[in-house]
Amino acid sequence: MDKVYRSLLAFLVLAVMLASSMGPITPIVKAEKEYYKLEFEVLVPEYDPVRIRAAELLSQYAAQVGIKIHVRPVDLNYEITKTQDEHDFDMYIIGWSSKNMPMYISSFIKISEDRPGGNNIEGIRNETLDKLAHMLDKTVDPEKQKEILWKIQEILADQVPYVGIYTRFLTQVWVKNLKGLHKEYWGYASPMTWRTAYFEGKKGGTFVVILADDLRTENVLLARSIYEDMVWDALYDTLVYLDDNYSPKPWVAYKYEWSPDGKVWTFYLINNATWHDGKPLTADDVVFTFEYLVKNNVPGFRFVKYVEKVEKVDDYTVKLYLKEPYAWLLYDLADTPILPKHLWENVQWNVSKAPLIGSGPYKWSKRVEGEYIELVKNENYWRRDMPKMDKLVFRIIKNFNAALLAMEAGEAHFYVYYIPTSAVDRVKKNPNLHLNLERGVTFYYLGFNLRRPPLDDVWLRRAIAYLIPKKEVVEGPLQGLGEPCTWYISPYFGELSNPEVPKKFPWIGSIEPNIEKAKEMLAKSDKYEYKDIDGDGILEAIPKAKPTTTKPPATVTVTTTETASPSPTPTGTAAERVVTKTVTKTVTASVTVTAPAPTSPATAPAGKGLSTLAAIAVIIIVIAAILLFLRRRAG
Amino acid sequence: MEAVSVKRYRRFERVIEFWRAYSRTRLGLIGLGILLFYTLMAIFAPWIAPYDPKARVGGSFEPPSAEHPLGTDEMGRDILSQVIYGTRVSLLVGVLAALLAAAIGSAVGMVSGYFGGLVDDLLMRITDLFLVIPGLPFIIVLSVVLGPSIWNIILVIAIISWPSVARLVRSETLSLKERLFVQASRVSGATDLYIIVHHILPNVLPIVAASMVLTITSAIILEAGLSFLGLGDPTKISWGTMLYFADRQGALLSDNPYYIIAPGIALIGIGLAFVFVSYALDEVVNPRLRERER
Repeated sequence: MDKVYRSLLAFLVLAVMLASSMGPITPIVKAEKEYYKLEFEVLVPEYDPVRIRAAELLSQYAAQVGIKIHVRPVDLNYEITKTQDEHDFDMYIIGWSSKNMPMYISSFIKISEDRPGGNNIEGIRNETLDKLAHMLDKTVDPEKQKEILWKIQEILADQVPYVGIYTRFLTQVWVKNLKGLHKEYWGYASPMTWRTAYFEGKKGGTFVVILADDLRTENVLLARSIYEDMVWDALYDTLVYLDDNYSPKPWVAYKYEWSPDGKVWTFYLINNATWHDGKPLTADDVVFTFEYLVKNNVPGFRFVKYVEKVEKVDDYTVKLYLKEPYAWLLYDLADTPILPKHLWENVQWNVSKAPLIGSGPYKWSKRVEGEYIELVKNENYWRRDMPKMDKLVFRIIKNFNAALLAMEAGEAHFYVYYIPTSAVDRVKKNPNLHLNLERGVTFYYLGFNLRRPPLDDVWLRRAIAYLIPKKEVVEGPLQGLGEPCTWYISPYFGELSNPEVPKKFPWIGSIEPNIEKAKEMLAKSDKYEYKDIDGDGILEAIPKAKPTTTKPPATVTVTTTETASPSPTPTGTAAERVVTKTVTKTVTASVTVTAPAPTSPATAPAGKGLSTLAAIAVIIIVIAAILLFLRRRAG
Repeated sequence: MEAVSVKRYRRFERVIEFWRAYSRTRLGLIGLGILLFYTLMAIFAPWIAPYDPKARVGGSFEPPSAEHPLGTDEMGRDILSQVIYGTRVSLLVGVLAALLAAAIGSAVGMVSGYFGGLVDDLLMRITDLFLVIPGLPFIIVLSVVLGPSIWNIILVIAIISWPSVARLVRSETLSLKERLFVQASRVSGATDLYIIVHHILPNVLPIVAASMVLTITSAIILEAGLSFLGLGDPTKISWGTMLYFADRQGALLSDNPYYIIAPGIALIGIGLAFVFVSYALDEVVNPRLRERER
């Protein structure tokens, strides 16, 4: 009896101990509250020190206003799941270049994209923006496009669902004698580079490229990462390609034309292209590719939902009929590999090992998982002058430092990822390496979850936007290899970027944290009253008693009459779920990178550090003396 | 009155004797010295450190100079100051995690060993469960779930460290409870709780202390490891976070390799100190080893 009693007691003790240790795991159920604490968590990908530093600095400045921000570095996939799929987050920092590119921006602001897996991560539900986005997709006229894009940018800057922090220059390294590189999305690792790169003063040779990640699958349709795209670009051809200025140019389709209403597209194919197994590439293959993508609703190809039917005119002519005009068709086609009908007909689109026969300049040779992928020259490529190399080898090296050392040792010729900023000087000093510094369209931003009060208050978002130390991030962790971001569409796109945004919306234009302005913004709020009720230094948001009518968003009148009526297109197909590939692009103008001026310590007396060292030495000696003394006494 | 002072005198006597035995071991003395040094650095960090570790006080990646003996990091922050402040986090995490593990472990071990039977079986099975969990992966998963904070790291390290302490304490308790003085106490009507607190606990303490020292070392290294993997709290300056940023920013290839070397050496130093101390404690606690030394 007594024993049972004791064992019960023991269990009680154990249970209490376990419960107390489990405490932080069980989420605290938040009841409907009459106020909200300004305490947020910002998700940051753990692999990027720059973004973590940005979050850390933001957290420091926000604390001065009374906003508590916890920095949470997480795995990138976890962050994407939390934000894009589950919408379970307060704020997040991520780099997503498409988000500031005119041809992709519409998919980030549509209301229909505000669903698990959709691109509208923030939960922007603005009718006007939604209408503009749909209109943009259908508008082919550049002038009209510009007008719509400018309005979109103004509404975004006014409402601040997300705010840019910095843009990063492309810092790619290749060996000095490598020539004939071409730019596209992602700096010089473009499809055209694989076709035209050569070693100066040498015929053929093996071209070794370092990728930071391996292929996930051996199926071109499942490619999502930029590294996968690079490999497939060498193996497959496309109808059109994007040139150095990011505009579509003929490739396998040597000519293309469209009907005045933009709904019927005709592609004329070259007649000497063959597959790697010797069979000719004809209109049948192109028709098959379109129909295959449409039939299977393959994610990642946005144009498929606009396709009505595909028609073969003759062996080398294809007609594509669209349901409604679609402005970005050629951009999408530049990303769409042509598939061989005779091999893919009976293959599921999502198998992990698909036929590896393409029509590109290189043929598949072999792959050692996690180590390298080897491609060999296609002797029968339709462009007789391409490719210039005998072999193209993609070596997979995940660690920057190791990759750079391999470049220095001459084991590789081209490093496609950014080198760490601290290594820039070292590369510049190396006579065999060429460091390419160019402005890119990368976009690193802070996004808010508008579904979660009090982040639904535009004044709070503006206040936080005022606190982002954009300049400090660029000068510190980025070492000046970037620019503070004050836009919604990169100035790289010239006219399409609205130059008024930073001036008209100072919270977007400010590049240094402004505590005063942030406080001013909070005071202006008509939705919440911000004050510190419990005296812990963190503000609380108390909803204002009378729900005032929220300000209407900036009035927008778009005078496009001829475009199709802006009825929301039926969306929600699987194809839309998948994210447009993150792309980046470069500018021809060379960028002079100035190292940030070292802010000399104004008050620190010279040799302050030395005196510390001296103090430490004294401490060590004193400790040693005391111990020795005690020892002697004891002995 | 007299009894009390005699007791106190005895205790003092024991401390002196312990110190005498301890100070004979050279390693123990060195370890203790290093530890004292680290402790002082942690306590007096704001006075010792030349700069605010979070302030931008120079250019990026400045090589060592008179102003910055270990140079600066990519944010223009003084590395020496960061290393000094980092001592605080490491010691805090190490000591608290080890204390927590020791508390849980000895509670479970004593209860299990003393009562035996069903209680023992169940508690030991639970302990086994925790023992077989692979430590590092479990810690990584837990710290991802719980989020980055020093307190979570302490908790997580304690969760995986207590079972070994429990095992140790249980076996000691098993032999202790059969000793005459415990039997005598029981016969004179002492309750179980009284016996555990007054007879078992003081006698297992030396063992717990010796094992704690090693737990501290592994806790400090684990904390640094987690932070290095990017699972720590990046807003807190610790050696692990420093190593993380240094590695990701390519410090070894930059002008200032001390960014990665300094926290590394600091970690080695503290780990070594605790290992020395634990060797020495082993010799003092375990008479057989002491004999051999002579």
